Amino acid sequence: MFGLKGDWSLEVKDRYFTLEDYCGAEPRWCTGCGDHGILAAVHRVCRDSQVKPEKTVAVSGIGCSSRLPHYMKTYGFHGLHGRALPVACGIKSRRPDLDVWVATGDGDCFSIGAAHWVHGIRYNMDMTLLVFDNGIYGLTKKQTSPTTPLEVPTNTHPSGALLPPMNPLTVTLGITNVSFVAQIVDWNAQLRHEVIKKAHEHEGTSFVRIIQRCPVYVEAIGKSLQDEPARMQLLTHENGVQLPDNVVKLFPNHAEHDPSDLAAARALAEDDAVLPLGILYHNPDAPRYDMMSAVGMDMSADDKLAGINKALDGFAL
Amino acid sequence: MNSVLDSKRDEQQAAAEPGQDPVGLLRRFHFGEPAAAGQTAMPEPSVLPALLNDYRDASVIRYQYPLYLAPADDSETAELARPVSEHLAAALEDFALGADDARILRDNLPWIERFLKEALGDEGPADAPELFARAAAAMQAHLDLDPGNRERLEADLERLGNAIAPGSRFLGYGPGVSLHLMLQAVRHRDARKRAQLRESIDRHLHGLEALLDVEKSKSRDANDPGNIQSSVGLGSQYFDSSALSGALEHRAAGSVEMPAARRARIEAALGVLRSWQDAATLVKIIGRVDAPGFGSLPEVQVVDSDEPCSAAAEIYAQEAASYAKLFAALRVAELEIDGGYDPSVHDSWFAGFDWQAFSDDELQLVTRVVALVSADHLAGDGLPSFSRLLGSRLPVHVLTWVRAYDNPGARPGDGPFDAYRFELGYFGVGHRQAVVAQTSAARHDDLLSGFLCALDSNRTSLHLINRGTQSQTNKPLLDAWFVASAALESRAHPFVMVDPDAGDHAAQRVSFGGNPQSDRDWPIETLDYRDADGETMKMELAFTFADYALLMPGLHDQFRVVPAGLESDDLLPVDQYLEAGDEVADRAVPFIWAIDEDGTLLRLAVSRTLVFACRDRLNYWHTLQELAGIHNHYVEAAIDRIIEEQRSAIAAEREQLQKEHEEELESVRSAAAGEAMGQLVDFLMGADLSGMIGGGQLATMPAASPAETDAAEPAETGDEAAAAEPEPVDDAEPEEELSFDEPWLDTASCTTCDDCMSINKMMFAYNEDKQAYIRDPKAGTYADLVAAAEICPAKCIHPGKPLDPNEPGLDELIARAEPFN
Repeated sequence: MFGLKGDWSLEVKDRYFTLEDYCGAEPRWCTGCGDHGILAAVHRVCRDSQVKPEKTVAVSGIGCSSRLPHYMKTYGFHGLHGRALPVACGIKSRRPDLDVWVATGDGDCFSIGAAHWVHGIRYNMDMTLLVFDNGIYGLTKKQTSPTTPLEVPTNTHPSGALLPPMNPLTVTLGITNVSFVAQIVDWNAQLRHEVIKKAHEHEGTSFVRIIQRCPVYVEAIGKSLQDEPARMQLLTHENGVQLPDNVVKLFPNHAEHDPSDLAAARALAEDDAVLPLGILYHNPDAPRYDMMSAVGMDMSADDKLAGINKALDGFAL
Repeated sequence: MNSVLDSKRDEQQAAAEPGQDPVGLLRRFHFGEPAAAGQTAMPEPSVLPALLNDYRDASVIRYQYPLYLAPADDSETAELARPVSEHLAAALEDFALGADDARILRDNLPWIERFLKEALGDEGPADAPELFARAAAAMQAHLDLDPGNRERLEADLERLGNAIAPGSRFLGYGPGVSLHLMLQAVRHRDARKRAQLRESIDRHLHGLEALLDVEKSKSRDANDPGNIQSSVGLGSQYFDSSALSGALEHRAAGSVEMPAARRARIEAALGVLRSWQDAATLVKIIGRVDAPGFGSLPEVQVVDSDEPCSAAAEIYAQEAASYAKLFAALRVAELEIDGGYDPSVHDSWFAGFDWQAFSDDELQLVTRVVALVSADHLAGDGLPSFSRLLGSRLPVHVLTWVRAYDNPGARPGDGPFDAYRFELGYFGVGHRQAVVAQTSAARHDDLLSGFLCALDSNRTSLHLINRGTQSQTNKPLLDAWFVASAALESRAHPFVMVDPDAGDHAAQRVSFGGNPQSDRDWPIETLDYRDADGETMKMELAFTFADYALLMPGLHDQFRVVPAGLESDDLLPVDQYLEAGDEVADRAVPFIWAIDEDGTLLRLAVSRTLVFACRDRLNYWHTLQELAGIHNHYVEAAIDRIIEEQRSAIAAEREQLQKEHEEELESVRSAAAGEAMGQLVDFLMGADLSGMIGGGQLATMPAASPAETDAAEPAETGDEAAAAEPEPVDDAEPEEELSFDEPWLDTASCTTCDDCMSINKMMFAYNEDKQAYIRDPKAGTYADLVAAAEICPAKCIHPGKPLDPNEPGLDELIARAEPFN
């Protein structure tokens, strides 16, 4: 109406944040480590969405991945091993106004933190959960992790991992109330950025498994995938991520997949033949525990006391 | 644009008092019963038409203003004005191609727009480069960036500032925009022509002076020392001009001297040309200017008058008389220089030379005269002089501000809807030979089109402009730009332009394109709202004159609130009510949808008086539509007739063909039956029926000929089958392998792994997005580039060819680089 164009809004922000406003300490990850790129993507997504740094908190457990909060100029919580999610859920339930990022790894999340992983996914609190999965315990110098591929030698299993690696996608997609599951590789910048952006936009727990290179201890894992793009399959859909043609061309295998289809997502996750990349599942309507836990936060102590008394009065004789 | 609104009021709130018929009460209000008006509620002052709720806060909405006014240019086709938002965005795109280039500036461009909008307010135009510099400095202070980003932004602001030309202006929306845009149009049209006039005057001056110099050289005094000295010019002080004069002969040299009358004519023309002062004034405004600062501009002269139309005609005559002397002198000079002046022909011609003898180009040079008159005066006491002016052929322009809700023909004390509206535009069209432009100040491009058309035409012109800036005690809630836009949308002040130069027919003369959805009675828009259950719903709403009237606080007594939850078939939206027949109109109550300050949707019943006004406006709208060739009754009737004729002709043809087909079918059927019977007889006569005697095989049809078999079923031998199979078509053309001589890094694919940086920090650097690019390919060796390409996990480094042909081990490096190029 009125000949106004699509860009009719002239809303301006009181403050503007550049990339540097989100950059904390100089990263101390090894040169060539995939974590650098993930961090850069987080910085960019924060900058693009202009979230306030003082309203952002990065939470982590223990491991290489979990150094991420140090490199964010936001609030951060470098927690206990495997306990990134309990801390993050605690923060979100008391401070629902904060933008919560969780950085964890294959050891931190899928092993010692497995119980919290299951319940964190089920709680579906609004947070972005990035799992840096390099298939190895890197910080403690090369021990077998739950996702170490068979026959990859480690310090704990010098003749190679004995058990088949865990499939984090099938586990996550099997958890009740899961709302967002995606998988990416750290070395494709555009895919990485688009998926993390979508994950951040999703209102609920966004689980993103990032297959990430550790060039120091298990270079072969990432390198073999990089050299054989046919082992990966790019998921395409109008409700998924949209990538430029030159990026799509990097992947010889494509599959049209509707992220709202949980059964199809599970089937993709179970298929060992190729590694699905993109958004496997997205349900924006899944209930969020943080919305329930935040009820009554605006009540004063007196109001709460009065409420309790009123409830107790019901039992009075 | 969509709105998401709070739910309609709880249905339980239906205000039906026991024993009262709420619809009946509203109907009685509609028919003008004072008692019913007293028993029903007027809308709150904060209520707006439902479709306009999104525009309550104009500061957060980007619309066509402020404008960027380009400086007067040599080119007539140069864009005179464009929205600042478009100008800045286009300028940014010119130097920042990628979405991430000049990121900080791009993200904060709205901030600059907002700054400019607030700084300009509703005052006149401001110097654009100066104001932009202020905006840039203010933005830097506001963002308070780190030194690196500050420097980057400064450079981008400087590039953006290059698009703000010296002499350009920014113009915010206010009461004076029409006058400023008119002046802008005049500047663009006249500044260049004025400069050309000055050149012409100077050229003719020299030409005439040369003629007199020739005469002087023929005289006895030509060899006087003074003349010699002036003839020699520079360097004459180095010799004795008196001595030279003494040596020369002193007598008249020419055989024939210029006749005295010609000499007098030339000297008179010279006198006019020499005394001509280039006028700074481009426009004379006759009337009262209400735009602050406009009257003090150097190009403008304001002449106060109670009767601007007649005063403008007189002033134009004076201006033209002054220019007549100049143009006559120029024409005389032209004739004299060419030796073509014939006193027997030209003397009498120049004796009566006035503006009516001006050429089109000369008419364009006369100071523009604009009568600024109130619409009430034009339609009232000033009507006779206004009409005379429109028929006068004088290129005088009449500008008037039109209140779209009011009737300019109403007498003092009358209500706006007491009589049918006096349509000044149609009155202007009735004078046939004047340019008429009924435009909105909210649409700068329409406004400028009207001005340029008038300036170029040398005709009298009438500009009826609605500004949305009514000076009334209770101002509308919305920003004036939205009020003016609403007048255009609601057909209260439709756009129409008539250019008599375009031809004699309405189809050639009339422009109508500035109206939204011009083929409909009212524009239809979609309103999004939430119902009582919180569900998002959509509703198609017409934006009518009644909706526009609701914007005027003084007209709120024409509305009454329909109790929430009241449902009745007798309640009809105004647009449907106007389309309904008399029977429905007698029992129905028309209403419009509105929204209160809390975002609650409500209905407002509309008075019969206002409905009459809606019909009156719709009637005028239909008249204009017909002029513009939309829903023209004659055309539509002709189309219907032709369609009907075509249908009849097609039906007749189809019937004939059907008949012929059936006849043909019958004849073929008979022939085929005869032929089949003949074949059967032949077969039976020639067949060996002995096999049937033993109860063996049944009779078989004759086998098809081998040729027919081939045609029907291709043999499936291996080779033939392969030959028959179509070649697989590969649509995708093989892609040409690209290679690069220059080293290149696909920054968008960089994963920020730090690998290349660890090899050479001088050669590689990170951009604003912390993705790598090649800062300086000469800052390292080709070996560095190749090593970086090999280690890069994204394989986004392409080393190209070596820059230094003397680098050791190049053969091996080139071979290693090949997979990455």
